Amino acid sequence: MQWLTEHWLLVLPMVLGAVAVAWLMPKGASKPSWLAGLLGLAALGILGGTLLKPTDGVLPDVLFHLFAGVAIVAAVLMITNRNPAYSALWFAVVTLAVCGLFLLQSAPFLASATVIVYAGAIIVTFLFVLMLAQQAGATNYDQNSRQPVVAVGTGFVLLGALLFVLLPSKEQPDLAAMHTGFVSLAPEALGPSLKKPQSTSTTTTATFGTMRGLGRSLFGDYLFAVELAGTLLLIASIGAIVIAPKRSSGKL
Amino acid sequence: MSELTPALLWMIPVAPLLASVFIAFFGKALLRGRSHVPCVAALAVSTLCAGSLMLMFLAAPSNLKPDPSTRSFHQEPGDHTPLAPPPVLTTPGYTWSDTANLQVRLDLQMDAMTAIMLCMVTFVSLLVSIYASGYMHGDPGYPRFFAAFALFVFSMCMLVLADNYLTMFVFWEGVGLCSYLLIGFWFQKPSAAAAARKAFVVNRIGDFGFILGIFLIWKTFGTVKFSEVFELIPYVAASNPEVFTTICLLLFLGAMGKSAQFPLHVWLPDAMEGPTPVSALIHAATMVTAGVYMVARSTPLFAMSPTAQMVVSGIGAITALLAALIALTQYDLKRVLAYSTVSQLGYMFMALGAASVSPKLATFAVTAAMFHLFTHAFFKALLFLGAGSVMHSMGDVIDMRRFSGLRHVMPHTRITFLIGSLTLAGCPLLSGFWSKDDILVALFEGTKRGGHETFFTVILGVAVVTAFLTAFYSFRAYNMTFLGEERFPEEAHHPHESPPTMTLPLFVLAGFSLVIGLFLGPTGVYARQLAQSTSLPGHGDHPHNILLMALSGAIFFAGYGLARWMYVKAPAVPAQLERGLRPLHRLSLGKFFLDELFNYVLVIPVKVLALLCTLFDKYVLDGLLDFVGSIPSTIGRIVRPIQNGLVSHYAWVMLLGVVLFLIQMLRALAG
Amino acid sequence: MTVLTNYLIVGSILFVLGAIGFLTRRNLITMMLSAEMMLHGVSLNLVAFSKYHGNMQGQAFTAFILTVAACEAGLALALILTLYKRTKSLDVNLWSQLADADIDSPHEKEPAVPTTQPAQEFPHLTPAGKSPPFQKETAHRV
Repeated sequence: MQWLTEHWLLVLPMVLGAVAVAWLMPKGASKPSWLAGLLGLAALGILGGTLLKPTDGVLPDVLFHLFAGVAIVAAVLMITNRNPAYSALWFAVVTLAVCGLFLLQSAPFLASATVIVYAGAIIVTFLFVLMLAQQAGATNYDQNSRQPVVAVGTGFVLLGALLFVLLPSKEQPDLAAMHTGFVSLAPEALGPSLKKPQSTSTTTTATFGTMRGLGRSLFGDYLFAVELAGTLLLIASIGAIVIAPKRSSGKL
Repeated sequence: MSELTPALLWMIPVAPLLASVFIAFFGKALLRGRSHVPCVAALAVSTLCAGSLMLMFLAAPSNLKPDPSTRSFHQEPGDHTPLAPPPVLTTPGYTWSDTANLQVRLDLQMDAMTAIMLCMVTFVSLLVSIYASGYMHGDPGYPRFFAAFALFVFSMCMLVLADNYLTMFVFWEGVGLCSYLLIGFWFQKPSAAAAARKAFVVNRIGDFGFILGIFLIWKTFGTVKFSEVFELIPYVAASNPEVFTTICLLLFLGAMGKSAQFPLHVWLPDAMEGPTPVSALIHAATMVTAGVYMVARSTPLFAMSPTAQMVVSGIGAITALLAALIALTQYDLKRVLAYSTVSQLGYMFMALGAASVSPKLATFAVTAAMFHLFTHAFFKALLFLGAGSVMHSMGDVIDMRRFSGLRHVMPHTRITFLIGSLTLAGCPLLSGFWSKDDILVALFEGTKRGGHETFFTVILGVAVVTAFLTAFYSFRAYNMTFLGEERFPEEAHHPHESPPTMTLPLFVLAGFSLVIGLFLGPTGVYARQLAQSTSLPGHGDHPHNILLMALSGAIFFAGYGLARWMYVKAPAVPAQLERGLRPLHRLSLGKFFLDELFNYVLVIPVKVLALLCTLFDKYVLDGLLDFVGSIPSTIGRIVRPIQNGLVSHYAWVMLLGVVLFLIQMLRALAG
Repeated sequence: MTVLTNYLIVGSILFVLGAIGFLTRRNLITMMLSAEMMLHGVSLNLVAFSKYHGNMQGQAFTAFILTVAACEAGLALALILTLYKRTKSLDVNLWSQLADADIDSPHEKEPAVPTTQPAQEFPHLTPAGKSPPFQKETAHRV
C-alpha cells in the first residue's frame, strides 16, 4: 500500500489506460466508446504531462509530443477497431507517426524507408488480402476479441514494470547503485549523470544521421549482414511463392 | 579295473538322457510309431553297463579303488582290527556349484547299494519299456511318453549315483517331475490332471522337509557329501548329539512324501490315473523306493538317533496296516495294487527302523529292507503289468466287479499274475517270502533286545497281521479277476490275450520273481554284497529264525485259504460280511476318509484363505493402486485445458512468463 | 531525464499495445499488424539509442529489422492465404489442432454476432482475368 502511494503517478495512468483499452476491446455488442476515450486520454495526459520532462528545446518537444501522442492513440485505435480494414489504416497512421519520431532522432533514411516499405508495400498487401478474404462484411471473430481483460491486464503490468525502470523516482540513485551488480542492465541508460560512450571508427559526429553515415555503417561494418539480409529476402520471396495457394480452378 | 569303467558308469545315466532328448526333439516329426526304439535301445545299453559293473563288483571287489574317507566310520571305537575298506567307484564329473562355503561337484559314486539299485532300475525299466511299446501303441502322445520315460530313468539313475545330498535332491525332484508328467500323461482327463497335481503338491510337503534336512546337514557338517558327512559324525556327536534327531526326522519327511507313507500316502493311489506301465515302473518298482533308498543311504545318520528310527518304524507300521486294510475292499484292480505298494513300502520302513535295536543288527535290518525293495520291484512290476494286460483286453475297464473268469481268455496273463500274487502273498520259497521273512526276523530281534521290547512287539504284531491281510487281498484280487464264471464288460469288444511284446516282459519278470529270492536270499549273496556299501557298518549279526519262517508260511496259507473260500467256494459270504460289518466296510472302502479329512482340514481352509487374499487383492490393493494411478490423471484433467491449441493463448503464457520474470528481477534489485 | 527516456517510453508503450493486440484479436491480419507494431516499438528504441550513442549501429539494425519485417510480411501473407483456403475464414481460433480432441473449442462459447448490427459492406476485388459481372450478388465469392 505504501508502495502504491509512493508511485501513484505511475500506477494511476497504468490503471486508467488498462481500463480504457479493455473497455474499447471488441466484445459482444458495441459499447459507448467516448468514456473510454476520455479515460485513455487522461492516462496519456498524466503520463505525458507529469512524467516526461523534455529538455531539447521547444520545437522538438512539441513535435515529439505530437508524434508520440498520435502514435499511441492510433495504436490503441488500431488494436481495438472492429473492422480490420480500418485497423490497417490506423496502422498506417502509427507508422507515419513513428517515422516522424525517426526524423526527430536524426534518421531520415529510416523514416522514408519505413514509410515506403510499411505504408507503401506491407499495408497495401494486407489490404489486398483482406479484400480477398473478407468480402462478406463484419465477421463474428472480429466482433469478439479473445479474453481482452486478461491480456490487457498482463500487458499493462508489463508496461508498468518497464516504465518503473525507465521513469525517474526517489529511489533512483539507490537503484542505479544496485545496478552495478547486475551486468545485463546498463547503468548508462538510466540517467543524465552518466557519460556518453565513445564513437566508433566508421562514424564521426560530422556524418551522424546522414545517408552517408548510414551507408558507411551498413556497407562497411555490416557488409556481411547486408548480404545475408539480401539472401533472406530472396529466400522469403521464393518461399512465399511456394507457400501461396495455387490457382488451380481460376479462383483463389 | 579297466579304463573303460568310468565310461561304463557314465553311460548308464547318459544313454537314457540322450534317448529322451532325441525323442523329445524328433519324436513327433520323425519317429512317431517308432519312438520306443531309442528308449528301449538306451535302456538296453544302460542295463548292460549296470550288469557288467555289477559283475565287476562281484568278481573282484578288492580291485576297486578303496575310499579312505570311509575308514573311520567302519572302524568302531575300540575295534583295532583293520577292516577292508568297502569298494567304491567314483567318477569325477565337474564342479556344479562353488561358493565360499559350499562346493558341490557332480560326481558319480557307485558302491554296492548303488550297484544293486542300478541293476534293478535299469532292468525293470527295460522290461517295462518293451511292455509299453505294445501297451501304448497307437496313443497320440506316444513320443511324449517315451521321452518322459527315458528322462525318468536318467533321473533315477542319477539319484542313486549321487555322491552328495544336494545332487540327490536335484534328481529327487527330477523323478518327481517325470512322475508328474506321466501321471498327467492323459491330461485331457480332469481326474488325471488332478491326480498329477495332487502328487506334485503332496510331494512338495515331503521335499520341503528334505531340503530343510539338507540345509541342517550343511549347517552342522559344513558339507553335503555322503562320505564326508559320515566321517564327521563322531565329532558332531561329541558336541551336538541332539541335532541328529532333527536331521533324521526332516530327511524322513522327504522319504514319507516320495515313498507314500502315512499321512502323505494319499497321492499314490490317485497316481494310478497314469498309464499302467508308469504305475508299474514309477509308482511301484522304482521311484517310490527312493525314500527307502535315501533312508538306507543315511543309515549312519539314523544310527545316531534311535528316536528317529522308532518314528520310522512306527510310521511304517501304521502305513502298512492302514493300506492293507484299505486294499481289502477296493474294487479297482490297480488301486488294490497301489495300496499294496503303500503297504509294502511301510514294511520296508519297519525294517529300516529296526536298525535301532543294536548296532550289530543294523546291517541286517537295512539289508532286509533293501532286499524287500529289490524283490518287491520285480513282483510288483509284474502285478501291475498283468493288471495292465487285463485292462488292455477289457477295453480300459479295471473294476473287478465287471469282469471275472478270465483264465481261459488270457492264459499267459493269468499264470504270470498268479506267480506275482503268490510272491506278494509270501508263498514259501518264492522271493517275497524270503525278503518278508528277513524283515520279520529283524523285528523279532527287536522284541528281544535293544530296550524297546514293547514297541517292537506291537510292530511285529502289525507286521504279522499285515502279512495275513496281504495274502488275503492279493488272492481276492486274483480270484475275482481270473476265477469264477466268465464275464466281460461291454467295452471289451473282443477279449484277447495281449501281444508278445507285453507278455514277454511278464514272463521274464515272473521268472525273476520265482527264483531271485531263493538264489540271493538264503544263500547270503545279497547280504554279503550289500554289506560292502559305504553306508553300512560292515558285517554284523545275521540271525535266523525257523519258527518265524514257519509262522510266515502258515500265515500265507491262511490268507490264501480264506480268500479261496470267500471268493470261489462261497461267493455269498463277502456280501453277507459286507452287510454285517457295514461301518467297517465303509471305512475301508472310503480309504479311512483321509482324503475327505484332508479336504476339510487343509484344502478348504487354504481355499478360504486364497479367496480372502483374492478379495483383499482385488478391492484393497487394486483400489489403492487405482487411487495412486488416478492422481496423475486427475491432475492432468485439471490442467489439460491449458493446452487448448490456440496460438494466442500460448503467446499470452509466454508474455506472462516475461512479466513475472521481470517483476521478480525488479524485486530482487530493489532488495 | 533526457530525450532518450522519452523515446524509450513511447517505444515500450507501442510494444505493449502491439502485444495486447496480438493476444486479443482473432483476425489473422490484425494479429500480423499488431506484430508489426511491436517491431515499430523496437525500432524506435534502436534509433533512440543510436542518437544517444552518437553512432550508426542502432540505425543499421533498424534497417535490418525493416528487411526482416518485409520478409515476414510476405511469408505471413502467403501462409494466411493457405490457411484461408482451408477454412474460408481468417479466425485464428479455428486452428487449434494442437489441443486434445475432447477439450472444448473456445470459439464455440463465444457469443454470436449481434444481429442488431448491420453487416458492413467491404470493398472487394474481382478475380483476375474475368470481367466484372453486372449483378452485384453473383460477384460475391461463395
